Amino acid sequence: MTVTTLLVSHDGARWLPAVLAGLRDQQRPPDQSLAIDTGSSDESTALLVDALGLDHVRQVRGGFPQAVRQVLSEIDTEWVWILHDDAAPAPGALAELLRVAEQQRADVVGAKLREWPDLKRLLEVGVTISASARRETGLERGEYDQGQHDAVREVLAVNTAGMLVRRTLLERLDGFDDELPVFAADLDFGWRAARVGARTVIAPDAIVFHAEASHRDLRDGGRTAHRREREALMYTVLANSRGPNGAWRWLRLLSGSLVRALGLLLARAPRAAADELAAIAAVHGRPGRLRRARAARRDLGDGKVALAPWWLPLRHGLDFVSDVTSAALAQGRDLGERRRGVADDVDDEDGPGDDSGLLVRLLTSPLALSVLAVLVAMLVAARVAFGSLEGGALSPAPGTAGYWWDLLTSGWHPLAQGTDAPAPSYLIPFALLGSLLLDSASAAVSALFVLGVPLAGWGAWRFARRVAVLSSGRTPSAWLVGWAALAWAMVPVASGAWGQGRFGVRAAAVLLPWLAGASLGFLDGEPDRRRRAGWRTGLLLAAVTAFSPGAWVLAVVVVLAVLVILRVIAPSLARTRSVWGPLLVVLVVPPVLLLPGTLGMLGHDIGGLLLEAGRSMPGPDGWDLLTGRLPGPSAPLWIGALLVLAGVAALVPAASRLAVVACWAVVATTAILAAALSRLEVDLPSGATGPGLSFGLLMIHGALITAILIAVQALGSRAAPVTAARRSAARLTPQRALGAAGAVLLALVPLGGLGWWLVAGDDLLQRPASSPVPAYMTQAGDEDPDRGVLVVTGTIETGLDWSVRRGEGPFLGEDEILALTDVDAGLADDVTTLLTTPDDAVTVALPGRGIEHVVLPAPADPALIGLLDGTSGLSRASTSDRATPAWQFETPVADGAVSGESPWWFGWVLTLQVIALLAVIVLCGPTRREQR
Amino acid sequence: MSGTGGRRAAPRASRRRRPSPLILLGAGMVGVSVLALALQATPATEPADGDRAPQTVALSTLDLACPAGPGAVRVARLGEPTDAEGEVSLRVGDAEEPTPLELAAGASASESSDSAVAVRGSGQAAVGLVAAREVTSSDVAAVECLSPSGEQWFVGAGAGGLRTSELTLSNPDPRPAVADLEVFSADGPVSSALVRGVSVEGRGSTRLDLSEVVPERGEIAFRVVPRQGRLVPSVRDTLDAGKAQQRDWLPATAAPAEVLQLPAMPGRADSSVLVLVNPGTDAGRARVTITGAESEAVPVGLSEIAVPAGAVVTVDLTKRIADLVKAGESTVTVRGTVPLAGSLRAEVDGDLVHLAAVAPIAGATGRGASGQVVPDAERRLLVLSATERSAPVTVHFVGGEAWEGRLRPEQSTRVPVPKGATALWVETSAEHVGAIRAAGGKGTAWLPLRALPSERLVADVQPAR
Repeated sequence: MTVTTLLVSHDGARWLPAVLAGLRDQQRPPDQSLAIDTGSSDESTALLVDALGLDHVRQVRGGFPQAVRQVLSEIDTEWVWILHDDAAPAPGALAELLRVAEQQRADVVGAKLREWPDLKRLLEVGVTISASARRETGLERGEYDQGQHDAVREVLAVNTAGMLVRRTLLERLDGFDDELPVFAADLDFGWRAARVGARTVIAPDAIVFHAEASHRDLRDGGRTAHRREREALMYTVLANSRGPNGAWRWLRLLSGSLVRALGLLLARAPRAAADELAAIAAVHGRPGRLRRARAARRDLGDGKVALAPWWLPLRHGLDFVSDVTSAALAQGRDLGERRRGVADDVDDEDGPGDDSGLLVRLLTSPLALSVLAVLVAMLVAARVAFGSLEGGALSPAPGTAGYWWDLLTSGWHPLAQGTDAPAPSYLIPFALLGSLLLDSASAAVSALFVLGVPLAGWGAWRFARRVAVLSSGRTPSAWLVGWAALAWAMVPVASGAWGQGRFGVRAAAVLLPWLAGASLGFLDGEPDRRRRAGWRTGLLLAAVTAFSPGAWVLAVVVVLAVLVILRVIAPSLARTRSVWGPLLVVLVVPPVLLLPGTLGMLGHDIGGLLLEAGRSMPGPDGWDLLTGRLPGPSAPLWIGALLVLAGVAALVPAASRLAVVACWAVVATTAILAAALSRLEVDLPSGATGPGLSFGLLMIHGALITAILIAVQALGSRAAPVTAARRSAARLTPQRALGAAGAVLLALVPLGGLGWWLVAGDDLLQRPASSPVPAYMTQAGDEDPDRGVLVVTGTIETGLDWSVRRGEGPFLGEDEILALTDVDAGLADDVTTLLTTPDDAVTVALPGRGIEHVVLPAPADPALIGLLDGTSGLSRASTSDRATPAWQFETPVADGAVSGESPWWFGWVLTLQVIALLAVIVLCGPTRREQR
Repeated sequence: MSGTGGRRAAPRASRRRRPSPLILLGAGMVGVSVLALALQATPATEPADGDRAPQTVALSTLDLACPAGPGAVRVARLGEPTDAEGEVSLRVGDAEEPTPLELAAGASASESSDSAVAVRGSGQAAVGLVAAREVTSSDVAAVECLSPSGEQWFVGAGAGGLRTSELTLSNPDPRPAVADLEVFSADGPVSSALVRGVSVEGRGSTRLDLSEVVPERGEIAFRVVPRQGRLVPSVRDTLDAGKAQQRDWLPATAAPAEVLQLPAMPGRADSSVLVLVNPGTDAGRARVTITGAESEAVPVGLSEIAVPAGAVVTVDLTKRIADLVKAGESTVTVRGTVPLAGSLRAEVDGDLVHLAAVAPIAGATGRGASGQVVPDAERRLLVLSATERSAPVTVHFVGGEAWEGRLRPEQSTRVPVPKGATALWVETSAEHVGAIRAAGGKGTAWLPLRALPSERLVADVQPAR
């Protein structure tokens, strides 16, 4: 067996000495060595001439395929061993290749490629190509060579670096395709070889160290390698596919590429996405080239081709998604973790997220047991929320989450007399959650009320740790963090927001710690991290704003205040775009993400943007905000008062005073804003009301808890670390006694709230009451909104109130729509006529307005019953409850009485909202380094 | 000393040291927060409902339906006369067109007809319009003409055995009407398809023999619920007393209430039977008291009456109240622990007379509060009783001198009716009940005082918030 080594070089002076040394050290030296230089501009040629002699070096114009073809005529040995200028063979490589070639009767034998210069990481052990034109090595990224792939086996292709190939096969296939100068030449060759019936095997014991210079863009410093590689791979697939499979492969490649480009865009790799699209364009832009290639391959034969399995691209997609997700989840910790990494290396012994054996930790850690006990207590206290729920600000949930999607995606709602008032934006998270929970809307509400409390605690736990580390540079005590988390989790409970069904406050309390945590990213030194913090904070602020609109107004004030302060104390920072840009992003994102609501409100009452979520409830006054109680059932006063006193006391420790003053600045800003907003009046069709201020309560108490946390953490840092033995031996000093008393008082705040919730917990929540409207009328209304029911309550003596029901409801999300909807004056006149001086005309007019029935829920006024009984055009309708009389209009209802058109802009704005949402989510994601 | 002083001076100086600007800033923030919260406007409370009292509008039309039967229909316009225009018309029997009736305010007129008579007052003539059918032959009897006003209750009807009752549903309007009957017996609610959806054609009437549709041996009570249109029910009661049949009308009784008052109890009744119905779902108890001219008295030996849910209870009061009512001016009061409806059937000199519970009538001065037609008979009597407080009262008679006196709670006031009086109206500021008893020949008639229709309440109607 005779072998000629063919070393192809192009600007490879960096690697050539090692390659030539490898060649020289072969245990089975080649019978002949030829080197081809394809126009290097460095000293490659000199190096080759020095090592091989001038006779054995050729200069060729063109790429790799031309180079090989040109010298092929000079070769007369049985085998050709191709080497690249960046591929250094191990000493036994050629011998092993030849051994395997002989043993396997192979026509092409490939070496195992490992990372340059002599590392253990595997690059390739044979390759194939997938239907989506992806080079498949079958290896994990960065997989170490531990002999796990050391079986001699047949493959589709082997890398040309270290390829041992029969000269006759090279000649028969006319070498490599000229259209593939760098990438995919090996795959195309392997494919063609397989079609003519040649056998390609891999010899894993033959090792070649490969620098992958072209692949890594090292060779010419260009940035086009990725695009060219994609183009080459696509060309390979399209040129070699044959038969009826061809069209299918083309379709799959095209759609796969588009999906891939979209995925890359979503993962913030726009350049890679552009490469993908450019590659498609380039391949399809020259159809003649493809035609020629396919014609040239037509008569090759039908040998078996070992392509990658069909599902491989799907698996890659899945891997990609999970990679991105885990990266996104991991990025939350950036800043605090790094700060702590510098400040102390001792890993904390606490935290619910730690990863030692769960049961062991649980049984041995008092903290874990306490956390478990608190969680159980929370679940027990929230027991009323298991199942469908209503009461206070909370209307019952509809039957399915799809109902919410309909509300969100319709510009016209058949409620009341039909309305184009916008659906509240908080339905987006609710609908998403409901869809995830098997399309159950009430499960989404229950999840918020049952899991919301522990979730708020979890978010607060993470935020408290980060703040404590940031403020002191030291890992905080888990008990302190736990106190802050529980205190925060109890704020919405003790304030009565939980029991009064104020789900807006409830949801804002869950989101706020995450929002605050994201905003800590602004303190990061890296502009990219600050930018991401901006998008993340904006996204979370949009979510909080959807539930509690005061959040955005407060954010505007805070951001402007920060910008002004920056301008005063650090003008250069204030002028840096990566500093002010992300801050402005925070303010712009919520209105854009909540666009249909924002724009829709313009057509009604812009003041509606400031309303609390849910049914109208009395708002808190200044004292309520300070003591953390909302009007209605709430925890005892002393719980909130203790927190305020502790917040004032937090100003005492000097070490943490600056941070505590900053927290008080937040309190002061919130208080001023609340005072200003409280003077506004939102005049809605449903009556004048004040803007929602409950968010201020969360901000004030969140800031107080943070202030106390920082101050206690600072006190803890000052005290010398003492061992348990010394601590127990220590004398009881007045200071120590004071500290202990303070700790007990502090602990009383969350524990008092939890205890109240568990034992006395007064609430307005209940199972949805059955509607006074008979079920058959409700059903008729569900099927056809024109068949409305006029529900009249009250007595003639005390005044009559009426409302129109169309189907079931009103449900969660519809209260706001109805509150914004003007009462139809004509309908109001007709109803007044019906209930005072009914005549024949009105019993015809009301069905024309989509009213089919009149219901007087018990206890009905007998005089009114008599009046309606005596009205011609009305006949009694059956009801299951005798005390609830009902009538039906004898005139049938008019079709389309409540139908109407969406605003013309609605569809566009909805599309824009979806795009904006996707874009913001993408921009929140971790930056993907586009290195190959 | 100086050294000591110097040492002391140092800490004092440090104590006097100005606090750090940061703590001042912190204190300022706390101060600003508290101040701002104190300055916060109190949240807008729920919008005050304001005055949602109903408006009153003058009655513009009033329909009264008088059942067919012997005797004549007497129509009266009661209360202070006004200048406003108005007219009264009668439609007798199946007549297509109504005939106008000349009737001045404060006067009465009689129309002799055995057929049903529909009376309509329009304009000012609707105010204070009352009518009743009276039999003035040897067998005195009377029944008031009711206006179609929703549900009506009848208690103590018979549906089998010796007593049978016949229900007539009259429809004053030209379009058909439908009614349901809810029937109660001693055993509880009676269900029968025959009393559901009873239809009455326009301007027509439908008769139901209760012994056919809901045969029951004992007393029954029922409620007429119009399901469509307007209806006026009337009940004719027949007692098969051996040789002769006794017939009388059963008056409509007040809607169930916890206090029932039945004024003008005859003084010498051969028998008196109280019939109560508890239409609710909770069992209750009832106590009977007799309000006489001077005071209230509890009948001896009459313990609390148990009234099971949904059932009719019959109590023979004859002997127990005989002494208490013999003056002939008593009011029987029933106080229940649950809402009850009731009536009392008495036999006086072999003639049947029915008393029904009457709803209290609000006082009104300046115009008539209540009134009624007075049947023509030998002995006629009005019995009044205040329900809450004492007040002066003036009883005006059509065709007689007015009577003045005073109403007192827990006392019955007897007002003699002058000869020749055909109707009366009561002017008092006190809430009261009252009834007229007329006796002559063999018969006794009883008619309750009714609030004089004058105006109508119009609710304040608003969309719900």
